[in-house]
Amino acid sequence: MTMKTSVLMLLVLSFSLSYVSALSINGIWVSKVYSGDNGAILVVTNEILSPGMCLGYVLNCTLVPDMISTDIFYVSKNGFYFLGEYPEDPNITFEGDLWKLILHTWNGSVENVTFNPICLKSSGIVPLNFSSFSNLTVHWKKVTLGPLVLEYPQDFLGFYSNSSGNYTLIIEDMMVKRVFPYFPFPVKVNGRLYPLYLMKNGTLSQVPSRVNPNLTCVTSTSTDSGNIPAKTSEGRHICGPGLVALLTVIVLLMKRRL
Amino acid sequence: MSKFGLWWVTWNGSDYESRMTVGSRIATIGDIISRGFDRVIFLGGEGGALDYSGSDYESGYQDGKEFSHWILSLGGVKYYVAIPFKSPNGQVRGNINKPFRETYWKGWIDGVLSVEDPNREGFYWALENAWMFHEKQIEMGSGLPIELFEEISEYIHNLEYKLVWILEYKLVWIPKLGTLYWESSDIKKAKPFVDYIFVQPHYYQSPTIPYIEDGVTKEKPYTFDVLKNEYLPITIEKLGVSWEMEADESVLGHCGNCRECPGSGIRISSECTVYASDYMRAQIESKRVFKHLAYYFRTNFEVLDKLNQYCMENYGGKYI
Repeated sequence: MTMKTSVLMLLVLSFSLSYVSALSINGIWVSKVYSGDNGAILVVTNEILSPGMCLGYVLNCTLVPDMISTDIFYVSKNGFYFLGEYPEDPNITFEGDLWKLILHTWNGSVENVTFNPICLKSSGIVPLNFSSFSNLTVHWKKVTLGPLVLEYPQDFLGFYSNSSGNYTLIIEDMMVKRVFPYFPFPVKVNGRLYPLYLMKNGTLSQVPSRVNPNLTCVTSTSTDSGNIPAKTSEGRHICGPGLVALLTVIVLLMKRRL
Repeated sequence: MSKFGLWWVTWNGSDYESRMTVGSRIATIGDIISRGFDRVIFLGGEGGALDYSGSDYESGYQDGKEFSHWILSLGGVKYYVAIPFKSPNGQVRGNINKPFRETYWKGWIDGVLSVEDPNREGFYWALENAWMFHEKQIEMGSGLPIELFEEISEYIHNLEYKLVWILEYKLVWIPKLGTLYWESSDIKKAKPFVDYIFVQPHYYQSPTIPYIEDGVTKEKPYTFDVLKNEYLPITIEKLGVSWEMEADESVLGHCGNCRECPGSGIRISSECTVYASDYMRAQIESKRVFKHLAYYFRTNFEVLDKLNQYCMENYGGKYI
């Protein structure tokens, strides 16, 4: 038995022993990718899983969801942005330079929103150290969007924490198939690896900063920035309430002229 | 008022075996009846522990007939037969996109019915996924179209069998719902097609419970107060379903799925006994006792004996 195999067996043993107590896994998988001109929207399924009725050995427990939600991210060359968490898949189309999203909200209503990524600042997320991922047997899916090459795991990855440490799992057919030492849920942009989810104190959370998907921006020389970062590498823009204020002034001026 | 006990069965490669015991002794049907159960559900997990010979109607027919024959040999109790969803390798047993009449599940039901048994009262839908109609779950092999489920239900409900009077077969489902966010689940969608739904609260197993606040999933400690004052009202008022009572060998000091059974080998059976009995305490203190209950106690009847004794001493009534 090699050292590597022994370590892996110890890890699996440690996991399986603790697996029986209060197991709760965050299962993450990219369920859909929508392509735009300069970026993409990732629809990610986030499931809180725990064992169903078990058959003998605890690793034979079928995982069943305690809760399912859908996380939406926007990815561009400027970085990643978290557009929120929803109970159902959104309906997304890319029209002109704008994204049209039909979002299901937690109170049961459905909202139509328009997302304009031109307002976004660089997200400033730091790439991960690639060497720590070199031994991973994660299957990647690649999407090319002009200058942007996006890669994300095809596998259903699980994240689990106990007193022994944090673990990343590969889940197949709603059962744990492989156990690894923890690594964050990774996404590659142009070959650089970024964390989409990180585990801190046993809780998995989205890394990118949250941005309201209902952005409405127009190019302007005004300095008004509203509630959204106004300056981007592509120019100065007014977003959100700033836009409303500007439009109101224009309408009032036009009325006066009339 | 009905008490449904889960009776675990496994396929050993050539025959079915009961997994139920009383300590080290193999349990008999008398053991479940004497403990107060009046209904038994024969199951093998979500189907993984039941024999599987193929995904078509004919295979389903043979598999169902074989299982039904084995159950008949036990005899003597009103029961429900599992409709397995998963195969032993974890995949879906049949093709969910075929018309119902051609599916494995129609074959299974017909195969079960080919064995006459007046004690059979209905079927148990073995898939525990409370989100089973969601597109993603279907894609992952953990769900099915609602239309197919509706057809399965209709078929079962239109079957009649004659005892002294004409009865209707019933359908039971025990979905897992370890969350306060019940709205996104498919329980309400499935409810018109199911006679008895018992949700798995997972209070015994999980120290935390997810909920939604400001559109974001959060978790909070799954305390007795949450079980009694939040989960119980959701079950009754929002969903209109019952509970599955949950316990296992952790109450006897063995390591099981109890939240207080850590991997270090420390066994806190007294804590697990309290967690298991809290399901009963929550109902008593709320003065809202479920009319029908299902009981998961894994495979050892001594779990129930321990809980009966504890509940008699502390709440003046048996666990079952």
